[in-house]
Amino acid sequence: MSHTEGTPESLATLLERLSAAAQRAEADDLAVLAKMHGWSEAVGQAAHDTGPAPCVPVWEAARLLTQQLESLILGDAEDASAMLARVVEGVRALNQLVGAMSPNNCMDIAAAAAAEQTDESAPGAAVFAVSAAPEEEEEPGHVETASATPAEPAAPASEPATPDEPPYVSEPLILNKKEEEFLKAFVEEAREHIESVEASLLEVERDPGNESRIDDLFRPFHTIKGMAGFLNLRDVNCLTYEAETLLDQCRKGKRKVTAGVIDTTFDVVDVLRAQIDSLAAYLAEPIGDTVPQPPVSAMIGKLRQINAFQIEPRGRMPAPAEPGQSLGDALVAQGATSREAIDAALSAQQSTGAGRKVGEILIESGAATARQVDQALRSQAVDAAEAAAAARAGPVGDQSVRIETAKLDALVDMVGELVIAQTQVSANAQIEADPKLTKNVSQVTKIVRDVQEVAMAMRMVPIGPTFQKMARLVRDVSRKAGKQVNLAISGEDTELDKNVIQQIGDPLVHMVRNAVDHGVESPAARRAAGKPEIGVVHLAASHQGGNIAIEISDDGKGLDPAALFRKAVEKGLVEPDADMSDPEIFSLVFAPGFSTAEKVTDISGRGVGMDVVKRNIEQLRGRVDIRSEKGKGSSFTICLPLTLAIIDGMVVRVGTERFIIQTITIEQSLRPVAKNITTVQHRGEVLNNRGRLIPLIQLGQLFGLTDRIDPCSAMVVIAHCEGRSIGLVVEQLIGQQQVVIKTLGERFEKLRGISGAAILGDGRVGLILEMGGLYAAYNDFRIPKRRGGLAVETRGRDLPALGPPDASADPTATGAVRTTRETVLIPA
Amino acid sequence: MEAIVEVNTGPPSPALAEGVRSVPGGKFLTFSLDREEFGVQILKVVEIIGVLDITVVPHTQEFVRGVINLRGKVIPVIDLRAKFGIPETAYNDQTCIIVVDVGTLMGIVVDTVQEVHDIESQDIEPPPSLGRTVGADFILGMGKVKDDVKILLDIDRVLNGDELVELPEHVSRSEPARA
Repeated sequence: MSHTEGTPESLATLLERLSAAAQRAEADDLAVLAKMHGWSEAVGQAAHDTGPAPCVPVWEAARLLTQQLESLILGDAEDASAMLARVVEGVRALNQLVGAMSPNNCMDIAAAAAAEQTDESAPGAAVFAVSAAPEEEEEPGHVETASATPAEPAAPASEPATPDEPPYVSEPLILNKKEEEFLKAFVEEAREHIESVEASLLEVERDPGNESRIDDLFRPFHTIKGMAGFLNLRDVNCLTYEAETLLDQCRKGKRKVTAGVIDTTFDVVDVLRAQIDSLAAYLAEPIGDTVPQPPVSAMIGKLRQINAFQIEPRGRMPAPAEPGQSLGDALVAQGATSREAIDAALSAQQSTGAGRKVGEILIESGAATARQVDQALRSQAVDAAEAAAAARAGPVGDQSVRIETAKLDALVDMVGELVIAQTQVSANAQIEADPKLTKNVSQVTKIVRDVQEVAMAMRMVPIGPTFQKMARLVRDVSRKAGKQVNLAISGEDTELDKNVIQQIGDPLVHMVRNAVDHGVESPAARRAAGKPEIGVVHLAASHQGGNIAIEISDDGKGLDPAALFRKAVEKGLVEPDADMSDPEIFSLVFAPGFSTAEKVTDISGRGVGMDVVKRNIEQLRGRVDIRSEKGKGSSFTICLPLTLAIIDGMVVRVGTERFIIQTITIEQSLRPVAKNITTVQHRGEVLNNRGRLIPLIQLGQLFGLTDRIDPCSAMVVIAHCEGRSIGLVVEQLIGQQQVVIKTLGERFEKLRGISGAAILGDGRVGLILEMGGLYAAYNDFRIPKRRGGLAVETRGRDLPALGPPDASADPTATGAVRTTRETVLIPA
Repeated sequence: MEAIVEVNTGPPSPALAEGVRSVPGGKFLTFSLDREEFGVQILKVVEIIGVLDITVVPHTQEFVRGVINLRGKVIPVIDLRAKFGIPETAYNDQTCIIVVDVGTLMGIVVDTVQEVHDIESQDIEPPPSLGRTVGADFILGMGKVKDDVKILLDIDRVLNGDELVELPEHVSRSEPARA
C-alpha cells in the first residue's frame, strides 16, 4: 500500500505548526485560530487519504478539533477559555495519535475505536476522544467519549483485503439543519461531478488507453466521498469510497479498464444520482424526519467483492429488451400499481402470447393508466435531461460567481420594466420640444439598452452541457435497440437563455430518442443499404439572425411521405384525397396520437411524444422545421427566439386594436392586387403569391372586431405556420419593434391564436399572435368538417358573407371545395 | 324597486345548508353597481384605479372586458355587471377598476367606489334565498352598515369560478339555434 499522500512527514509538519500555535494562541486571536483550523482540516484530510483504510481515530480527532476551533472562531463557544484549553489538549493528543500511526497500528486503533463507539455528546461539552490503544494510556486529563456520530463515515471494515466483513447496512439519515447550506452546495457540486464522470466514462469507453481520462474518473468520486464524509452522508460516502477504490486500481494499473468496469461504474453513477436526487428532494421539501435513501447495500456489496478480486465486473451486452420485466419494476417503483398486478399481467402476456405488451395489458385491465405506463417507459431509459440542476453560472473557476436564479430572474424582470418605461418616455412627443431634454432622453435610452443587453447576457448559458447529456442517452438507447449509433455535437458554445435551456431538454430527449429508435436503421439494414454500420445522430446549435437554431439530424432511413400520409388517413387526421406538400405531411408527426411505429417499442413511439414536443417548443415561441429524404436521413430544426422575455415583432393594426406578429414567422408583407385573389366556396379568399396559394385570414372578422377588410386596400402579412404559409389581413402595418412579452396568465391558457401580450410605446397592451392557434381557429370558425367528411356545417357567429357574395353558395353542400395545395386539417 | 330577476340559481347555497355560517368581520371596501351596493374584503384589494384603456381579448366570455397594463403587468379585467347579468352602461368618470388579488391579480369594473366600512361578524347575515341579482354562491353574507345593507361578495368565487376563454363549444350569443 502506498502512502503517496498524507505521509507521516507532511502530517508531522502540520502537527508541529499546530502545536506551536496552540501554545501561544489566545481565545480571541482569530488569525491564529483560523490558521490552526486550516491545519487541523488538513490533518483530517491527510488521515483520510492515508492508505486504504483511513485512520479513523485520527480523522475523528482532527475533525473534532476542527469543530472546536470553528466554534471558537465563530464565537459560539460558551466558555472560550475552557474551549481553548480543550483545543490545546486536543492538539497534544493528536500528536500522540499520529506519532503512533502506522499501517498496522491504524487498523488496530480503528478496530478498537469501533468497539468503543458510543453516542456523541453535545458539541459544546465535547471532550477530546482517545482510543484505548495501549500507547495512549499516558494521556493526561481525558475522558473517552465516542469520536464519531452514529453515522460513521468510513467503517473500519471497508478494507479490500478482508472481504468477509459484515455487509453494509444503511442507517436512517437525519440531517442537521445547520448544515443545510452545505448540503445544498454539496448537491449541486455532486451533480456536476456526476456529469463529469459520465462524460469521462463515455470517452474512456471510446478510447480505453487514455490514461488521463481514467484519472478524471477517479477524482470526482474522491471529492464526493470527502464531502459526503464531512456531512455525515454515510451511504454516499461508502458508495463513493468503494467506487474510488475500483477506479484507483485502474489508474494504478492493477486493473484493466474493461467494458465490465465501465458498465459497473455507470451503474454506480445511477445509484449515486438516485441518492443525490433523493437528498435534493428532501432539502426542497422535507417530509418526515429522515431522508429517504435509495438502496445502496447491494451495490456496495458488489463493489467490495469486485475490489477484492473475488468477482469480475460484468459488462452488459445490448440485450434484447425485456419490456415486461423492467416496465413492471418501474411501475411498482412509481407506486402506480402493485406487484401482484404486474405478475398477473405478465402471466396474461405469456398465456395469450401474440407478443402483447405488458403495458397495454395493464392499461386495459385498469391496473395502470396510460400515462403511468408511459412515464415508466420513459424512466426506464436513462432520462439524461432531467430538469434538476439549478442554473449553472458558466465555467467553474475563479471567474464565476454562483447566483440564485431567483435573484437573476428578478433582475431581468426589472430590466424589462425599465425598458417599457423608457420606451414610454421616449415615445412622448413633448420631448422634442426641448433639445436638452431630447439629448438627455436619448442618453438614457442608450444606457437602458446597454443594461438590457447585459442583463439578457447574464441569463445566457452555453448549450454544450445539455448536448453532452444526450451522449449517454444515445448510448443507452442504441444499445437497447440493438443498433450502433454515435452522437456528434457541434456548436456547443452557442448560448441560450437558461430558461430556454431547461425547457428544451425534454423535447431534445424525445427527438434524439426518436432519431435513434426510428431513424437509424439496424446494422444489418444499413449494410444492405450500403451505409456504414454505425449511424450518426448530429446535434448542432447555431445563431441565425436573432434566433437560435438547434438541428437534430440523423443519417437513417428518413421519413416516408407516403407511409405518413397513409397513417394520417387511417387515423382520420386528413382526407384521403387531400393534396399535401411533403413539408405539410412531415408536420403530421406532431399531431396527437400519431405514430408510424408499427410496433410500440418501450423506448419511444407511443405517440405521446411529438405533440408534446411541439407544444413545448411553441411555448418557447419557437417552431420546428422538418426536412427529410427517404433512405438518406432526416433533420429536425428547432428555431427559437434568443430570449423568452423580448421578441422582435411587427406591430399591426386591425380596427382599434393592435397586434404583434413575431418577425421570426414573417415571410413577407404586401398589398395584393385583385387579380391574384380568388374566392373559394366556404373557404374564403386565397391569394396567389408567386404560384403558391395562400389562405387569407380575416383577423378582424375572426376576432369579432371589424367586418371584412379588403386586402387590396390594406395589407397582407404572409407568415409561416407548421409547414404552410398563411396570409393575415390587417389594416395597417405600424412598424417593427422589440417588445417585452407579458404573459396573459393561466386564465388565458386556452386562448387560441394569442400567445401573450406586450406593452407598446403608448402604454397600451398589444396582443401577440401565434400562428398555429390562429390557423386552427380560422379552420374552426370557417367550416369545421365532421369526421368522415360528409356533411358540412356552418358554425360560429353570423357575420356578413366572407368574400364577394356567391349566388350559388349553398351552406349545406356536401363535401368541401378544395383547390390544389389546400389542406383540411381537423383541429385537434 | 322591484326584485331583479335572479340569475344563477343553481343548487342551494352551501351557506344556507350549513345553517348560520358566521362570516368573520373585518374591513370591507364598498362599491356600487346599478343601485345595488356591494363589498369586498379589504385585504384582497390591491389598488383602485380609474378606468383606462382596456385591450379587448378575442374569444373570451362576455364578462371579460379585456386586459390592461398595470404598471408593466398585464392583468385581466372583468365587468361585474356583465357577470351578474346587469345590463351594461357607458363608463363615466366615476367608473373605477378595483384591482384584487385572488391568487392572481385581476381587475373588476364598478360604477362607483364608496368607502371602507368596518363590519362586525354579528352584523353579517347569511344571504337570503330568493330574489337577488347575484347567485348566492358568490355572496359571503349581507352586511349591515347603519341602515343600509351591503352585499358582501366572495370575490374569489366570483372571479375564479368560470372560464375566461370562450372555447369553441361555448360559442354563444349569436350562435345559430342548431347545435
